[in-house]
Amino acid sequence: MIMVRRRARPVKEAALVVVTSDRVASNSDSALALPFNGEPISAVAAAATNNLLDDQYFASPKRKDCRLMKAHENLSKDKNGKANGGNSTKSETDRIIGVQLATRSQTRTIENFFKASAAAKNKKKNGALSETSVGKETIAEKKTITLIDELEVDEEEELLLYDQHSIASPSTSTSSPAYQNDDLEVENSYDPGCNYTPTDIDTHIQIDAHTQTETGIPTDTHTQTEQRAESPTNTTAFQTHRSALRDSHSSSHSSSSAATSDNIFLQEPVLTLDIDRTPTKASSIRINKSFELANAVFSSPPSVLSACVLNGRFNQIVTLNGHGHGHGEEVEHEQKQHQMQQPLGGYELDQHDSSSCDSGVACSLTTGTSPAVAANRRRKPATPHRILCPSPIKTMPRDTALVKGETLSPRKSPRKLQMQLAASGASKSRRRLNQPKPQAPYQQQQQQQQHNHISNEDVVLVDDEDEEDDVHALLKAAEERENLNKTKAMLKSAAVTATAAAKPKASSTKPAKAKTMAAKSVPLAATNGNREMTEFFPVRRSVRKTKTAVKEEMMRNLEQAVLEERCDGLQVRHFMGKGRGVVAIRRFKRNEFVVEYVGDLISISEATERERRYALDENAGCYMYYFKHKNQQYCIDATIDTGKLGRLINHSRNGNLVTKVVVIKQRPHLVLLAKDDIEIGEELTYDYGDRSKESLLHHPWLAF
Amino acid sequence: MFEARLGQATILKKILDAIKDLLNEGTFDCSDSGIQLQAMDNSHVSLVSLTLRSDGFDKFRCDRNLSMGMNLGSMAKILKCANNEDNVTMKAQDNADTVTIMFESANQEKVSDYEMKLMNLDQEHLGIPETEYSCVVRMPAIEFARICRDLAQFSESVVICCTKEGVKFSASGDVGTANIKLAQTGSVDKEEEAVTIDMQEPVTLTFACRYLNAFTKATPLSTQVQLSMCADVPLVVEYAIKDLGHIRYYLAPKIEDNET
Repeated sequence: MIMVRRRARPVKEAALVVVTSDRVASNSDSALALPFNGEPISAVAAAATNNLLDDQYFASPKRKDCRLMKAHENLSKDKNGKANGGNSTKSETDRIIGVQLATRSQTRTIENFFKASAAAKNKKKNGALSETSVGKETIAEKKTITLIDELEVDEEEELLLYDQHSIASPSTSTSSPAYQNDDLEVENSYDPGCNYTPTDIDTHIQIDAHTQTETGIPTDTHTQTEQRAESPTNTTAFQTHRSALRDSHSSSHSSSSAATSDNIFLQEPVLTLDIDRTPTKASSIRINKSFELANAVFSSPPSVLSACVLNGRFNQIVTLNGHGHGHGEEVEHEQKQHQMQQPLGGYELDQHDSSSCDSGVACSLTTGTSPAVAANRRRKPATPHRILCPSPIKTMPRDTALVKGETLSPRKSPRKLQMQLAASGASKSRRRLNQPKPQAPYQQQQQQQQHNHISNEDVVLVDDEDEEDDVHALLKAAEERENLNKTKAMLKSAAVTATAAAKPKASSTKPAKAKTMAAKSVPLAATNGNREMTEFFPVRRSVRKTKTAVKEEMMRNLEQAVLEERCDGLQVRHFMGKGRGVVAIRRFKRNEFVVEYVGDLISISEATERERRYALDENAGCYMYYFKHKNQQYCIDATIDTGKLGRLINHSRNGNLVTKVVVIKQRPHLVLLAKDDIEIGEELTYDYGDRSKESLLHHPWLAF
Repeated sequence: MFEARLGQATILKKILDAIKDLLNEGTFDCSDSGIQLQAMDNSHVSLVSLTLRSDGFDKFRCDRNLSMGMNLGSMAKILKCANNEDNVTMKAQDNADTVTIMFESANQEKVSDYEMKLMNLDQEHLGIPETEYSCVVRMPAIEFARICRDLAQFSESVVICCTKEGVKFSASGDVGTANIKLAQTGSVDKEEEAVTIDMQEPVTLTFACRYLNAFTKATPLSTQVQLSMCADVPLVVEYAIKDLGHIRYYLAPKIEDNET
């Protein structure tokens, strides 16, 4: 590039290079910045980030453990709090989970042994207890384990189910007790508003189909379960769950009594999923479609369900998925009739509880499955058939889910809103779990354990980095407790929300105080009462920046200076023989921005035109700054006195300023930078670059 | 090119023994002035700072600054292969991902070399400020090791109380309480058995026994240990390595629990 003042004027070539590269940099910067700005608006983007977060979350196996543990503890807490008829069965499921945890790292055979024994217990219970209690048992199991279930897989199963419709129907139409269990389960497990419950049923059906058709071929299944056993802990949990459920069914199933044998090889297949045959992607797409179809075909009310034909079950699936919560209420009522003893609200709360720290918040997720699939594929691209256990949170684009639920439901039930709030709250709490700090998980864990809560939307999230502060921990604890109370209250009296909001506020102070001790003791546990070295000695981090970073920073500064028309530290002064000039009244460092050469940016043709005009005027002076930028000749005309200082700086062949082109908003600007350190009182000058004879003739000072 | 040669492998052995319990891995920063290692243990409660001056080596050459991340367990294993009297030489190329450790027997008849893979450790480096400690206690290293060992049986934390008269180590637990008082020795013939206290103001601090016991693994390196204490500042346990440098352990004090 050549900057030309008046006529021709050599300027360093490098300037252009710098400018262009910086332009590119700034462009890309803005491009990068855009998605972030757009994020809050775009639900998809939000979902994407959500997924990302969850991925991070799942990246650590330790966290997974925590989740399981929490689910477990949660359940035990519920059990204590509720004291209903299903206590004993619940404790049993508890044990199952505990076993799962303990044997996770051990060999498969032991696991299977435990599973088998658990199944046997289940069977006993099944036999002894009434139908309703069986239902309870299943719900208890559900609560803990279905949370971890993989939605995607379920759907694949579902798809399969549709395929195997014809195979399954003869066996299912017998209306065996197993299917009644199924129905109960459907109703019960609807409670959390889980989307995947119907799909679970599908698997049962499918399993049944298999028990009918393939009971004699367990080896095939075992290879599959083995595969799953290798996959993360959740999967094993999932597996157990499946097997337990299956056993509870099969126990009442006359044909499959062999399943309860302790020998795993004599057991009937746990699951036979032909997932390999259905690629993940295809299934996820097709499922949605099939929902719609089914919705159209089966429209009998869910009360027919107990009649228990496959069609009826399908219908249930449809209603749950399609109509969302409207029908869900009905189902719930039915369930109430069936099982009067259960304090339903409490159960709901429990469901939410576990879901908030686990994966149970599938509530309002009806169609948001494809992101989940995508996320899964992203994580384990090579093994689409492997059952992973993503949190439904991950699968849920929060905003869309909310909208969807509202549009689908015939009436807006406050309970549903509650669930959605819980869902969003839970995803928040998940985010909070993503802590790099070593201390934070302890606090988190404890809080989560204490009340695996329904966080409301009005949770004021404390920033992550403040997490370790006790004060913040306390604050949060109080908030969470408050939320818990609030939701409880809302569940009790959904209509009178105002009072509910007021109530927890009053009650929140006490729990907060109680929490004080717990939160305080947390760091003690973290390092065993010791303080950390980093508290005393600062971590040394290099403050060195890369060359590009420095350059970028400089360009940013320049841009900012130009935009705010900075011209501080300058003063206009009269010089004998030269007229006005500019002196520095503060020190300028080398390469520092001094002032912009402000004027009209005009094209070269316009410039020649103007120059002709100015030539007529004796006093016009030379204020036309010609320069070339990106192979295009520009001119900045500052002839008109605007009071800007850039135009008043005088010429010197070895001045203390240099010009530089800075592109701001696609417009080149000329800025004057300090060529060297400039002292106070020094006159600012730069080289006009005009060496032509004619100019010298008219302006002899150009020679100096 | 980095090359450092020590006359006796036993020193290096002892150094490794002194740090390998606390640290799983560490970065040896080699420069012209010597070798330095600074690392925190996993819980970030204690800090090990090892300095080996270049003039302490028989031969030391370090053309460019070099950071060698090592698994200290592996390093200790390799050093176990050396006889105490062997010459030991550590060698590494300038951008190498391995370090060669070579042992030569005294009569040059046996030369064994071991190559160990280096690791790229992302460890935080702490800036340790210069501190004026209000109490500096020098005492026999063996004595300190014994005190720590004994008190660890009573409690998991030990209170070190330093006054003009002497230094008191005390622990109290379920079993009972234990107090060990050391008075400043007047005039002693042997310097290594002296207990000296340099005190500006009395200090009482609580530390975890477990870490102190880990520190005493450095006892073979030195006859004397120096404890530097100051209120609300980590304790410094320093073992001097004769003619070579020193190893310093920093231990953060326990949280003062007023409620209990």
